[in-house]
Amino acid sequence: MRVVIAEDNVLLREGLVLLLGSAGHEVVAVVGTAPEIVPALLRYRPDVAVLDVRMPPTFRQEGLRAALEARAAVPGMPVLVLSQYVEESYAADLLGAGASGVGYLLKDRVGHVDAFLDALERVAGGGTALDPEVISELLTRRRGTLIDSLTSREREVLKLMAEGHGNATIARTLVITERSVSKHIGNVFAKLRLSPGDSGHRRVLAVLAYLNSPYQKSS
Amino acid sequence: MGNALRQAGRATVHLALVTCLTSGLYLFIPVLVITAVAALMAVGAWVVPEVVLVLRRIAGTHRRMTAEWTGREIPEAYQAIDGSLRVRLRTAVHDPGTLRDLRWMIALCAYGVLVPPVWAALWPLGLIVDGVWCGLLRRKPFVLPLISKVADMEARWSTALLRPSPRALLAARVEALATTRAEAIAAHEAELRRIERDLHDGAQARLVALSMRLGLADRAFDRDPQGARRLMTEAHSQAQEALLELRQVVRGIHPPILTDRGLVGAVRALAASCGLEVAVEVKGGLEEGPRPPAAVEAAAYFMVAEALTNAAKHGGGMRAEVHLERVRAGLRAVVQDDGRGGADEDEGTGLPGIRRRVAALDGTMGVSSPPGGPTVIEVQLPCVW
Repeated sequence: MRVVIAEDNVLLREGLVLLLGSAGHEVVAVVGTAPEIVPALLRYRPDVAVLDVRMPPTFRQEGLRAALEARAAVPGMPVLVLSQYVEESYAADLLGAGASGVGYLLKDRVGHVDAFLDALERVAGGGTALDPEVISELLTRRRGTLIDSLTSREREVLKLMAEGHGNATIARTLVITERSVSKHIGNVFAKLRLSPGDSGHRRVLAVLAYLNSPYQKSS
Repeated sequence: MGNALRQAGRATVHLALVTCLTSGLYLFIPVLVITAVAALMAVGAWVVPEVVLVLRRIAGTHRRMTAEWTGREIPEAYQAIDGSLRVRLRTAVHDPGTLRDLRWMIALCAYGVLVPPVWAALWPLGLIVDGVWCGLLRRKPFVLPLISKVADMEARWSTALLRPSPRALLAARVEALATTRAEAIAAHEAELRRIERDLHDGAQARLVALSMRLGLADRAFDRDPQGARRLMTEAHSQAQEALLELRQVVRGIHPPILTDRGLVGAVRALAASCGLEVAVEVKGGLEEGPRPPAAVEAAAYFMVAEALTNAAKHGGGMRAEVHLERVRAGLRAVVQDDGRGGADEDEGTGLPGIRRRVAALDGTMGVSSPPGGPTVIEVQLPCVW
């Protein structure tokens, strides 16, 4: 894959280049300041962009804004935003403009190289990769809604699904069969009153849309 | 007699100075009248604040003269004149100090007419009468001391006229407190941001990079043990650096040695490690008695650290002295070096940062650094022991 990296910290930049190189990806451009991000993305049209949220000159949320701007210019451009802290509203902003080809992960996850590369590939393929902490926050915020009617296993499945994992990965993570994963997913959809027809990635989008929408109390 | 003459001479100098000031004031009064007229016609409104400022300066001069004679400072409590013309104008007119200054001015004008003839007449009279009285009859002089009495009287009513009203003093105090409080909050916020950035850019980034290296090493372990080993070595050195940075951040927040050994021990440690020959003098039972509040200890510690660092880095001297003293109102800390002086507080961020820290605790800081040295930095931190 061709990747553009936007990261101001030299250490992390080098680390990311090393990591992506070791996985056989090609880093076509590395930028260190916010104003360079969008031009680089539009010029190189990478398969996926890895962006740091905080960038010079103001160290606020330039990476996030650049991601939204680039996706407004090129709809569906895959971006994986890395952040030192989980900020659920950042995730909401990113998802607000469509969840396909979007990733939002804590920087710490980079250490789990395989999981990180897997997430990167999911995003590049138009999928989603959301940090488990983001999902936990979304679920916590939903306490007192239909979510409460889920069993703990169903909630685990929902979490992994919302993070963007496919059935096979969910089955492997929870050490259950794919058949039971499908069954749990069916239950989740029924309990959350979502249309069960969706499959594959669209299913994830439906879940995220549900989690991200203004919520109603179940009673 | 000689004593009486000297005393009368001193009093005369004081009275003459006040008379000079009064003459200056006579020249200033036409300006004042023109300003009032101009302001009434609204064409020269901008001169009003300026004239009030000049009036304040003249009053300030008289305050200093009077303080010189009585040995007691007369406080000033004016509202600051700044901002837009409208605001300046409003402050200049509404400040109770302006009215007091006008009252003082009129009184002084009367003084200029009434008092100088008195002491001017007392001199020849005193010389003759006291000359006879003391020279011939060996009695104590009694006319010349009257000149001192006149000066005392002048100083007394000048003090009364120039002293701000208790309300104005209180208002000035409240304003000063509001400023230092705002500064304290701003300093605190800046400090938190600095710590957050230090952690974010330093230790946290290093730990992420370290974790990345370990992840890569884990992946490479089976097929490329050599490469994995290299990555582990890099990860190890990054772990060391992350620890070092954490230590520095912690030291910048609150030096652990301050907790462990108190201010005196911490300052002695600073003295030993700063590269200069430093003598530490401790007075007032600071070492044995109860410890000052943590914020006071920290402010004093950072002041000493900054002063010694500057002395070693820029001062060019070899020796320094640190005095720590427990005084009745709090803690006093002084650092003096034998460097070349000329320290500019506006350069760099160290001293202004310390000044804010000290002001936040309602303390005062004085920096004296004439070219050629020595540089002396003193802080007074009020606290309850």
